Amino acid sequence: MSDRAAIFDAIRRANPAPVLSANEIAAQAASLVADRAGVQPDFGGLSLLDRFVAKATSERVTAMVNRVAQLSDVPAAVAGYLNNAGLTAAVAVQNCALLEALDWSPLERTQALEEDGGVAVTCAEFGIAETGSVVFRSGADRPVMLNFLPLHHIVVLNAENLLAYPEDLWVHLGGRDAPQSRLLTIVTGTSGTADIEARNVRGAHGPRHMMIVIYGG
Amino acid sequence: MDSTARNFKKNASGALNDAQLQRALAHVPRGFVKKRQDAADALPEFERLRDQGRDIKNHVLDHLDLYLEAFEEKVVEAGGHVHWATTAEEARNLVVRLCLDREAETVTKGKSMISEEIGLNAGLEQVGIKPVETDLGEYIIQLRGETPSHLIAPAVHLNKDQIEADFRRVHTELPEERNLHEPASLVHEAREILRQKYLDADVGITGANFLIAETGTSVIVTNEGKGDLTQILPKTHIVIASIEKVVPTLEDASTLVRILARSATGQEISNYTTFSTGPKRRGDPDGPNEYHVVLLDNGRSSMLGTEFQDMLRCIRCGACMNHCPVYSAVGGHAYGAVYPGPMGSVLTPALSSLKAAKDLPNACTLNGRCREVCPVNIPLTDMLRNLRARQWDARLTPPVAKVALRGWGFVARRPRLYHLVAGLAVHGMRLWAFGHRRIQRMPLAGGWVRYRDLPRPEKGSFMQQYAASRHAARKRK
Repeated sequence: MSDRAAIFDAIRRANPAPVLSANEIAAQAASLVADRAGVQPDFGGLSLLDRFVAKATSERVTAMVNRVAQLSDVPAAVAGYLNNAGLTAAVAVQNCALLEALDWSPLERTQALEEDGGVAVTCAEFGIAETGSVVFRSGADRPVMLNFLPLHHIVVLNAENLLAYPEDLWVHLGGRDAPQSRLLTIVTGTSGTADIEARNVRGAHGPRHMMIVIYGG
Repeated sequence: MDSTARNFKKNASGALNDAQLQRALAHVPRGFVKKRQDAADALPEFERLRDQGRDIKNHVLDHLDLYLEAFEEKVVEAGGHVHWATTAEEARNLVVRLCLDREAETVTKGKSMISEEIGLNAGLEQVGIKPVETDLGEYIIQLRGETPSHLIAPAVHLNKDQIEADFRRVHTELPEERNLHEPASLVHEAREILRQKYLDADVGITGANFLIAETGTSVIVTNEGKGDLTQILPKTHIVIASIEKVVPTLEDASTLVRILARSATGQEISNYTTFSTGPKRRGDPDGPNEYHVVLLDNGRSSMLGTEFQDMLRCIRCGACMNHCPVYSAVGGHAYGAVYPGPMGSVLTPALSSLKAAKDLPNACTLNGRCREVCPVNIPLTDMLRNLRARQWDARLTPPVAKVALRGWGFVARRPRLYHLVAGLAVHGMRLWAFGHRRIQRMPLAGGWVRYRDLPRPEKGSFMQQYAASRHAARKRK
């Protein structure tokens, strides 16, 4: 008997055949998570944007937030970050349509991040207000490596794409019937570890610094 | 991994006398216990979340075969492969073969307890493939040739000066005079060393916190981003997971992620929550060409339908061991098994045998903190008690304990005899005190009195004093 058959055989011997149809089982599963108000925290009157900023800049997330009026202001915001941090390195800008359309001329651009210590600018598809998270998906015009390799990560987010809770993502992306991308990552702040004496250190393998530039809204 | 659980008593003795270990374990209360409490306090809905977590997992276990079938179908639809392994050995062989067939020289690993369970690193090394642990804690213990001592913080048993010594010993290409005094400097050095290994790896292996049936997705939850770098950069991504990790939908995964992060580290969400479905899509500039999921049984299907089924709800947060006084005193290695602490004391006998792990259910004071903090409401203390009962039935209880319990049982079933014996014992102990207020030596109780003094008892047992006071009251009338 193949391993697969043996495993299913053992499971079925333990669980008698269900009297419910597949639809009934699915409905039962759905009812278990239907009580959203039971588990999604209240924002206490804060707007999505205010909650997002409060969480993103909190001590446990440690991102910086910079609000600009419109998308075309983003390159200047990036230049400002480099200036403040005393960085002169070239910047890897993700070649997605949104960012490619901007004028990056004041900055030097590079294609990849061979050496560690670099700066990358990428586009977040969504922001999650509950936790101050940003969401990236893989796609034809979006290399995901740039979200993990640099030391400084600058995230560009449209305020209109702020969602309240992670569960809202699934609704917006079309749920189970929509084609899934290879990778979807909910990123909340910078890479960190507490593996040494339970003390939190940033920049474990991923970025050590994050600035989220929010435009519009 | 070979279990040394039968040596628990010896291991625990050693652990209590290990000053370095005791110093390291002192960080657990501040690090984990307080953070979890803060997170639980900050969310009024926390108890509701625990109930939902339990209900989701119970539902899955009732229909495990259906959800596994659905998961497999969706993985294949997305262009991935699913492999099944009944035993640890089969799983190890599957993964080693996948790596050999792809002529892998180095393999990066995110954190995976299943890979410990199946002895994967040893299997890879045997065929000349070099596994590189990228989780910082796992990397540190790999340098020391040790196994993880905690579910989510593998190096919690170490102090930073021990880690500094290992880094200096192994990273010989770096300048000797460098400062490694602060944890930050150690972390940054590890980052530097591991960066090139990430880029060079041929295969990336991760575990999975959850497997989502409706989309064929594996979910990993990390703070370092090591699982992400492990699975994006190499050409092949292998996920190893046990069969009870499957959950029905994306919503279920979201609910469980909420309770997992809070229970494990007190975060509302981990720094990186990543959903992976299949290999890279046509046109994706990066990502692996191949996606394989290896599903392991290794005794879990035999836990279904038994009194241990609830243990399969475990989402590997580590809260139980953080709150366990025994674990906090002796650390994870004393348990001598892949899974330590309260959950390990149930899972190890359930997956292997009671005989091999008979001390573990007894390494427990039944205080119940573990079940209070378990995010999916596993009745750990009930199961540990059941295991002790099973031990008794299987005649595995040590002879001295058996005789003592039988003796006590004989006397306890005869109340008048019990009162007589208790009265004699109290009288005897008063004499034994030789007029002192405290008893510092006691035959047959050497282990107890070595660290504690017994107070000299009052005159007469409670029943004797009670009878005497009633007698006095009657006389006054």
